[in-house]
This record gives sequence, C-alpha cells and structure tokens, in this order.
Amino acid sequence: MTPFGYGLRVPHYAELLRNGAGVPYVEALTENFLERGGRPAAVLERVRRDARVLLHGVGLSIGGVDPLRSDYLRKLRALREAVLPEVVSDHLCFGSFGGRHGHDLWPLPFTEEALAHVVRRVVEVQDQLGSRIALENVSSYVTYASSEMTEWEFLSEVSERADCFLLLDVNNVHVSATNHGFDARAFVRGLPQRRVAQFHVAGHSVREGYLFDDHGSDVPDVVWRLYREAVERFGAVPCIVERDENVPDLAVLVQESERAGAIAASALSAAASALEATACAIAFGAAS
Amino acid sequence: MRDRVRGRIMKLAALEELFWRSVRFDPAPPEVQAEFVGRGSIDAFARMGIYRAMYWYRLVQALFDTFPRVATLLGEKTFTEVSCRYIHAHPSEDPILERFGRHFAEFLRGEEVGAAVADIAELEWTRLVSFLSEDARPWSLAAAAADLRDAVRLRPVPSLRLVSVPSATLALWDRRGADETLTPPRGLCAVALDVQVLCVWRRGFAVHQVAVQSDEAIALGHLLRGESFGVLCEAFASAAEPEKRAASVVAKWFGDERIATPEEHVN
Repeated sequence: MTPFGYGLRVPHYAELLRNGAGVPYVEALTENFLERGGRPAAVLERVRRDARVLLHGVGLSIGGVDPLRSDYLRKLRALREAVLPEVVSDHLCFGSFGGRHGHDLWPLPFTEEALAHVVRRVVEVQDQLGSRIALENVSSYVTYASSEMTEWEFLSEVSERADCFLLLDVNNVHVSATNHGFDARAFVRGLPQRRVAQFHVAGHSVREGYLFDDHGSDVPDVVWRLYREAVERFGAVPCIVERDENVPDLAVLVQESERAGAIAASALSAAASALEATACAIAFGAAS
Repeated sequence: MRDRVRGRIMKLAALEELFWRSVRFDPAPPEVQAEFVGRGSIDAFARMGIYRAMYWYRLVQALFDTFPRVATLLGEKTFTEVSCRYIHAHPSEDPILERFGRHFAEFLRGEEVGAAVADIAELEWTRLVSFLSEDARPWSLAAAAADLRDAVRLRPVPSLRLVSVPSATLALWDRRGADETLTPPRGLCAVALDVQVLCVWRRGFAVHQVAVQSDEAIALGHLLRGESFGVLCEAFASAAEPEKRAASVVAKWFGDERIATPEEHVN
C-alpha cells in the first residue's frame, strides 16, 4: 500500500478522538504537542493506535544565526521518544533574529556561507535528538541577490553534507517556481533520490502577480501532476495533505489523502510496467 | 553552481537582520533594493511587504485566538490597534506561537482600555496556560486517606493556578454570552477593593474556575508552594470548626481532580 495521510488540525480533534485517523499516516505539528496534556495529548495517543505518526515542526529556525534553543530541542527529543515518529522534520529556513521570533518560514540565501552554517546546525540538532531529521523546502516570495546556487543544489548539498533527509513539499516547489521563474521539474529532478523521506501536497491561492502558499484550498491538478513525477523519482514515501485555511470536514481531507495514495500507486505501477517491458526487451534482445 | 558576479557580499547574519527589520518596519530599509530580488511587476520592496503583512497578521490573529473576550470587549478595530502596539513592545520570544500573549495582560494595564479589560486578559491567559498543561493522574480521597498525615505533601495537578480578579470584573466575565457585545466599564477596579481569588484547573479536556474563600485561597497557595498537609490545614485555623472546614475543602479538591497522584504511586 502506498503511504498517505493528512496533517492533524484542531477542528478535527473531536472526530479523531472518536474514530481515529482513518488513514495510514498522520502528521502532527510539533509545537502543538510539546509538553502538552489534555486534548492534544489524547488525540495523539488515539491516532497512534491505528496510524503512523510523522512530526513536523515550524520553530527550529535551522538557518538562523541565533543559537539553537536547547530547551526546544530537549522537549522535541522527549516528544520524539514518546511518539516514535517515522520522520521528524522542520523547514530549511530561518524564523527568528536576535531572540525574536517571526513565526514564519523566511528563505535563506543560497550561499556557501549559509550552506556551511546550516550543515553545522543540522549535525548539532541530529546529535541532540539522537536521530536524523528531514528538512522541507519552503515556498518563497523573494530571493537574495547574493545566492550562489539554485535552491535544489542547496538542499542537495545540505542533505549530503549533514547526512539528513529531505521533505519535498511539491506545492512549495510549484509556488516558488512560479514566483521566481524557475523550472519546477528541474527542481524535482535535481534532488538526490535516496534523500527524500516524505512529501507534502497542498493548495495555494493566486494573487496579483504571484502565488501565495496559504494551504487554503484543494490540491490543484498542477501540483498533483508534479507529485506524480516526484513519486516516479523518489518512490512511495509518505505523502501528507496539508490544510490550514478553510479547513474542510475530515472526510474531505481523508478523500484527498486517498487521492495522493491512488496517484502514487498508479505512478509506481506504470513505472513497474515500464521496467518489466524494458527487461523483456533486453531478454528478447539477448535471446535473438 | 553558478559563479557570483557581484562585488560586496553581505554576510548571512547581516542579511537576516535586514530581513527581520524589513518585516517589522514599514518602509523597509533601502538596502532591500540591492540585497533582494523581485520579479515581474513586484519589486523587492513589495515582496518584502508580503512577509511583513504575514508577520503582523499572524501575531494579531494569535492574540485574537488567545484573548477572544478581550477582543469582544474592545471591538475588532481597537483590539487590532492595541495588538500592534503590543507586538512592537513585546516581539515574540518563543518558538511556540501560543505563548506570544504572556505579557499582554500586563501590557494592557498601561493602555487606556480600563483595568477590567486587563483583568479579563489575565484570566484568559491563566485559563490557556491551564488548558495546555501536562496531564497528571488524579488522586482519589479514598486512595489518599491513609497517607493524609501532617508531614505529607500533596501534589496539585500541573494545570492548577490561582488568579485574583476584582468581583466586578468577574461579573463582566460571567455576563458575557457567545454573541454578546459588552462595553468595559472604564477605570473599573483602578483601586480594587473587592478582589475575588479564582482557582483555575483542567479536568479532562475542560478548564474549570471557581471562586474560593480567603482561607481556601491561602491553603491553595500552600499547596502550590509544596507545603506539608499540616501547614496547609493551618490556613483554616480561624474557622469555627477548623478540622471540619479543612476536611470539607480538601475533600472537594480530591473530588474535583485538583490533586495529582504522587510520583511514587503512579506505577
């Protein structure tokens, strides 16, 4: 079975407590479960009965120049050890400066200096957590004049040098590709195959002159098409449907997650058939 | 990798500082033009404006979510204006967004919104902290009875808090219906003569609050400070029947799941 699921959101908590997740995977937003009791903890415990959990954070600020917060990492480690997630992820970005937090995912310059800085911090985080992490590409609205490489080159280098995984957010690739005028398929093709541990898909909105990553609508076809290509390249890693605005009924989200599973199954089946055909051709060629 | 064909290189820390200042302040610093790249009809300044709008929106929204009663009392426009001043005065210091409002009640005391509004904010914040607290297994009176000696130290559930609120403010809290719009009495409780102590805690998934008498408030203070059962009972010494009063109050704490099972009894 292809692995798919959705991100846990507060409006669904009551139903999740009653019925569980209804999908093979769920993604929990790390900050919503750190040192928490009550309903959030109960929801996590309930969904873990029949679904695998992925932890996804927004507060690590791995690219920031502020020191890593040891209190945050200590709590994250405790949560990881309690939940035993298949993947622990955050974003390749920065979100704080001078001890002040923006609660946003701000892009980094793709420079050698930033690369070395991020790699050092990923290694430190992985040491403190006792596990490898996955870093997600963020959607962005601005780039840096000082960038020395493409975003996918930067991601690839980080993952190789720090020995971490990548979380490929397919919607973010499409949003950033549109906003900055690069080829989304080149991005997907440019990442190392064995490093991608998870996918995200989501919707976005079209604004005057740019795309805005609001997770406020169904996953559009253009993102599904790119997702299919990503599955063909990286295989059946867990795919999570994200929804943060206009959150629909849980049943709708389950349905959309199942679509991710169906597309992945179809892509992998087609790839297997192609492989079989190639093998046959080689075999017949060898026999004749 | 592409070769770089620019002269001066701004270091990572300087770039992040520039980004941060551009997000917080409008207009953004002029260096934005040289260091960031726009595309099409949207130049670098306008693109930084997207991040700025998100920064302010997200933090104001977080305050709306944490302080819905204060927002109702002040109205959307005033609440947003006050929130923006708060964001300037107290930029977020925690990666967890829910904690952003920790100074809001105190900040409101310096604003011209009326002391009652600040009191309501303090109660809303206390309830949020209680709601987010860690779980603890409640201890029943029956299970604890054998251990209730003077030297024993009872453990409150992690969500238990005490908060002092003027009685008039409490009336304002109690009157507020789901769709009711209230006007806060200006200057109320500037000198609070009649203050009510509330005990706030979470039972299951729901946060509860009850007004407590002064002897119980003192006893709860002892409980929160980890004093022994004997010291805690001294709070009721001036009651007509001290032992009966202490027994009645402590039994209520157990019944309401305000006492946690001691660590040594958990497993």
